Amino acid sequence: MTNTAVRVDAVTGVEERLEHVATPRGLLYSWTARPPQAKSCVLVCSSVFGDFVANYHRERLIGRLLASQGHGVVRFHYSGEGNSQGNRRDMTLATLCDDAQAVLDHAESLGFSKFAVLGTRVGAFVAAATVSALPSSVPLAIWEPLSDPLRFLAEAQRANRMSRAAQGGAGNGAANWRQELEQQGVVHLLGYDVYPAMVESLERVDFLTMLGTLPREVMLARFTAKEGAPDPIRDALVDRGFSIHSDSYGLAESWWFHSERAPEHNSLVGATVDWLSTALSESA
Amino acid sequence: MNELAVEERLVFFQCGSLSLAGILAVANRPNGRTILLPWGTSTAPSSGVNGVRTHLARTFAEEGFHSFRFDYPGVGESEGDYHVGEMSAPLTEEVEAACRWLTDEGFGRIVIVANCFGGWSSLMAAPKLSGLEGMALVNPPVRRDHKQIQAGGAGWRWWVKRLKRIRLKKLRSAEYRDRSRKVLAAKGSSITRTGSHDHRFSSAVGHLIDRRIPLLFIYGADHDFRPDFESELESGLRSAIEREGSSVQVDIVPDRLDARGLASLEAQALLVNEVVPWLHRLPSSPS
Repeated sequence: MTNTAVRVDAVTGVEERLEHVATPRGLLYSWTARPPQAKSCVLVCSSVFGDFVANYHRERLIGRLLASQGHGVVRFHYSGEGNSQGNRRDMTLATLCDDAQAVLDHAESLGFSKFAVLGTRVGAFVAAATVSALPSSVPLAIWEPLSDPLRFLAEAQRANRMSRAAQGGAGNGAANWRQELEQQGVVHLLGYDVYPAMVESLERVDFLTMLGTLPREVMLARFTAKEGAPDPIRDALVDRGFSIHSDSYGLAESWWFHSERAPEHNSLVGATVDWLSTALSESA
Repeated sequence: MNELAVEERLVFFQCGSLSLAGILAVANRPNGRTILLPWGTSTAPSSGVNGVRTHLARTFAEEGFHSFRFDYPGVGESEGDYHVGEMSAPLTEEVEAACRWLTDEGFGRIVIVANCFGGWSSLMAAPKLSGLEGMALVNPPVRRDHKQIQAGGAGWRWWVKRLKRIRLKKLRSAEYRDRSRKVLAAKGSSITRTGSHDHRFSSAVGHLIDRRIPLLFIYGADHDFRPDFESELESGLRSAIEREGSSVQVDIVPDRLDARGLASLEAQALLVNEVVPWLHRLPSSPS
């Protein structure tokens, strides 16, 4: 059964909707902001596991800021994540992409016709796959895209070891997570259950291949980057004729970690909102 | 568990001037009770870290209890600004607003299952909650939060590290100054070994005992808040909970029940094993 909760801001007229979006994997939890007469909309593709929560507040802020500037926004939880239905055991990069497509279709059904897509880390792959099927006028903003997708899990393993050591335990938990995954059919990274289907789906992907060759406007945000250091994704996109806006935002944080305090965002949120807003206003 | 079998209603409800977002998981075979799940403060949405609240809500629904989880102000899909939990400012209005919405919708027989700061907020809200039929509190703080406990027990290296991080910009923030004052006071109190005169925790528990509302306390054996709870027991709480007619259960579990919102599946399973049997043992009608 699907259902919808709606509230409308008395001053701005922005309508916010909590809705279930139906997919073969179950219902997806979604939040949509719909300013009056808005045709433009940003689809936000989150990351997963620890990063899903670590970035949630930033994505919330982006959603509310974009809506206050007259753009629609749709955010959602993947199947097997957050408040959505589904089983994490079945989660793969392909299911994440299918979920994003279902939510994009849902946004179209609400009357949005001009899109931009934002994706973070693993969500950057999802965002890339989603825009690859859309015209070149659809801009793409990506935070921390990965050249090697399995680094996403390796970082969690590193954080897991640090966390155990900090708690006074042996710091070698899940030292060989691949071995643990093979033997037990699941590996627990910082408490998150990661299954073979997800790992295998990340093994065979490449960000640039997923994005395709159709040049478009791309904002590439790095949380931290050494000055002058090469960025293979940025450089490859430039070579392929994409229009790139790239910057680093000095956010010193470990992947997957989140604390009680709101995550630092410096100028990242504001810069992303400004870029998306401008790109949407300029796109045909 | 077949989570697809649990129907969920998405709602906005009012809390003062703010609209908060919530989700009601509807029990397949309702037993008349509804579980409210106020959690610790963090920027995680109502699903909680690693979906802990989603998992619990759906498990409870499978067990015959409707259950309700929601976003605090400034979190998830609720309106407002986010603030880290402060012992001096429990989120009582939010707990009351959620209970009020449930009651108005016909889900008036409420049992609270709360974690950390959500437990503290629920205890502080208890005197104003009608229809309350039980409260299970997981690692609720007693008089100090994590930061105060850490500061109280920290050695000089920790303090040197903190001092090094001080910047003029930070000192201009009232929130930062308040936080610093709080941790300094915690350290001072630990050095001088002066106990707290804050008895709000025991008073709230006493109030629930007087109302004959069953209580379950669960603490991880190594959790930060357990020593304060033990000290509160020694300061008179034990005699209150052992009083005739009271229905208070204290379970110390051999696990830290991690502070990161019960993120691990292990911690979540442990919690289910502790809470579900207790829920089924609650008296069938309020006394």
